[in-house]
Amino acid sequence: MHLKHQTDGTKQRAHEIDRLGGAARAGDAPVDMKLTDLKTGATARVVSVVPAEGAAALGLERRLAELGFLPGEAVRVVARGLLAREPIAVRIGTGTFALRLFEAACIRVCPEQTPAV
Amino acid sequence: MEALSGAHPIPLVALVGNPNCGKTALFNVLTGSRQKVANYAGVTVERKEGSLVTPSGSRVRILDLPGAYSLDPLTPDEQVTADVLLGRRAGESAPDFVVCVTDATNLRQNLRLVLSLKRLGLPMVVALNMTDIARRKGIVIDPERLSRELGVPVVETVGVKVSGAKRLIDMLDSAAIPPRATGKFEWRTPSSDDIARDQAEVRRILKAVGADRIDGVTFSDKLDAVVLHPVVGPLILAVVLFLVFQAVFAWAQVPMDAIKAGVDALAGWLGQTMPESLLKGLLVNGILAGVGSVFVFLPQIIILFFFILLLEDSGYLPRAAFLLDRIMGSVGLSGRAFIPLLSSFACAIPGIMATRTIQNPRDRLATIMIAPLMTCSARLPVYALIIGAFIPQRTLWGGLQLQGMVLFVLYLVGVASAMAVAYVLKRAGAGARFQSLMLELPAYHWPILRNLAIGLWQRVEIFLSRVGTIILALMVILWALSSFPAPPPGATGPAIQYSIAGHLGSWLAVIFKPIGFNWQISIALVPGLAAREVAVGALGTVYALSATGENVSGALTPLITHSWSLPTALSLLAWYVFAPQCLSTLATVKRETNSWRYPIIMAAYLFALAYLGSFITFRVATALTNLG
Repeated sequence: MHLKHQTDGTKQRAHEIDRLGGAARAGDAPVDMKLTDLKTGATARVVSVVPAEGAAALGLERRLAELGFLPGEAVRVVARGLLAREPIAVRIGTGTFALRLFEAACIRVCPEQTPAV
Repeated sequence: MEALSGAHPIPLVALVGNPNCGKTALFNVLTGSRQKVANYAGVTVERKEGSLVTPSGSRVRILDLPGAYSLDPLTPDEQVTADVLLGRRAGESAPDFVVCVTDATNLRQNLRLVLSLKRLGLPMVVALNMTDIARRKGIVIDPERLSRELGVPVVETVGVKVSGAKRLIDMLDSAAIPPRATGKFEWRTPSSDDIARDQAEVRRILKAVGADRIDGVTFSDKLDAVVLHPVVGPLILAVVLFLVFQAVFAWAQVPMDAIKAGVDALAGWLGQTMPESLLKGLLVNGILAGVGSVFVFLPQIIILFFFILLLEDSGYLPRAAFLLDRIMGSVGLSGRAFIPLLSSFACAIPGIMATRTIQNPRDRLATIMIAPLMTCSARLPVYALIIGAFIPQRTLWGGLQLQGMVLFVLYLVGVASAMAVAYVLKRAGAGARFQSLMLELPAYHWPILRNLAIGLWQRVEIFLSRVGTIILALMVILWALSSFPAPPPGATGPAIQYSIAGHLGSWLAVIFKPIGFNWQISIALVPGLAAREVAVGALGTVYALSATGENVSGALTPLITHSWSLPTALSLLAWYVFAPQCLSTLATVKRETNSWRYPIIMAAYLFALAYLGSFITFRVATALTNLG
């Protein structure tokens, strides 16, 4: 639920997140979104990883960090599954991981202005 | 073994690294065939140790620790790695020296583990692995510069080349490995902020060594655009799996015929040259007929394992897991369950052992419970025998063989029933609400022949040692049961009818009559409990002994074609799709779950499914045969 509110008030909160996350560059007019809302093939930077409701017990946030989902790292959606667009294959830095949607939804990202060539 | 190692003078070097960093390939280069594969005490995590003799002649033990993303374990695999490194694993001494293996093309991920290990304070060297691939990508890292930035020695390695570990070996030789640090190591679990700080340090180092470039779209990405495509991807997967099963049948034919001919020739020669005696009976009817009919399936098992290893080594297996994740999720399984389940096609035991990579305990249990429904290679001999005897060798459209098609359907039935059982388990509350996936999709690689060969040899060795031990022993016991007591003088029927096995079989036949099994099949099912493929050998023995004439050749196929009806054959196929015919699997489940509850539940539900499946198959097939 918490995440939904954030998405609704994205623009108003953009500055605050920029300040808190510290990784989004100023001047890019950062608009942070859930990784799951990023288009396939689009690149972005991780702003923060927020624990999902109920899933925190699995140590999800720390595990994502251990895999490299850390503020400032470059991400790109490589592929999505056929049914319900799950799972989602995500390039993080120089590695690629397949995530469930609830896992990817914990990752807030800021889209890059220039798409990868 | 482990108890002694504490006092062992030979230094112990541990290979540590992220999963998919090429650690096992490097281990193979370092140790060659001097490897021992066993389990860590108390858990079923595979323990691989090998030895290396350095150019100066000193000996070093090399331990290949399971791949880990961090020293804070989330899976039993990572637990072992962390425990061994921290010196808190009972029965294992802390290594004297650590080689941290890193993938030169993925340092951004790998260097965090290096920083953690450095903090731990064990003497270490960083192996900058896969430098050949990195160079092809235009990533050139100066190991000396990296070493200065990290504050730890760095050597370049190429795990795919025999000479690729030369510098590392020189290092292990010259670095007079210091005596083992005593006491336990202090380890504090880092918070997400600590990890973020480590990553900032990694970024600084990468920038300093000029390796901070991130490629846009890589070759693997281009391949993934096709392989992971929502529509094309599953089609490719279906074609790949189908081709594997066709190959298992078609390619194996020639070597199988050769083995069969060789065993027959040997039996014929022994039959002519040896005088009539008990020993001749044991050799010809017991050992050659029994063991020979199992040994003949070696080519098929080699081909199946070859493909599994090939798919694993190339990086396709996790992609298959990705494609199947959603379907598996619909019955309450994780996509991660795909790899254990695929291994179960070879054998349920490594499959069940591989479930330790599934973090969620309930998820893991569901996967363990359905693993035996995947058609393991031990069932192949039974399927192959019956299909060969009852399904005509006809070519369908597109050059596909009818026999291969039937085999494929049997595999599908196994998979479908596994999904159904998983769904029931999920309904019963065994599935978790949030199932984690977090599966790495490593860059594609050309499979390394050397690794394939070593992996294949380890599997073949296991199969051959089973044929040589359990199966041989059971064949001799079965031969004895089938030969004694000897028929009374003046008896007219085949000798086996008067033996212990004959009595046992006719008793069991009462239970199995409603599903169409005769007493010969009923006898063969008993030793088949120890290992499924033994049933074929047992049938060989039973029929060889029940033949009244001089002809005791191992050719089982014409015998059963004449004495079984088609419904009986189909019923036996159905039985083998489900039956809990493997005591070793049940023993593994007991060990993995640490309780008798689950193996008992497993045996009961599989037996019920098998009986029901065979009953329906037999009745329907009988009705159809009568109609036709």
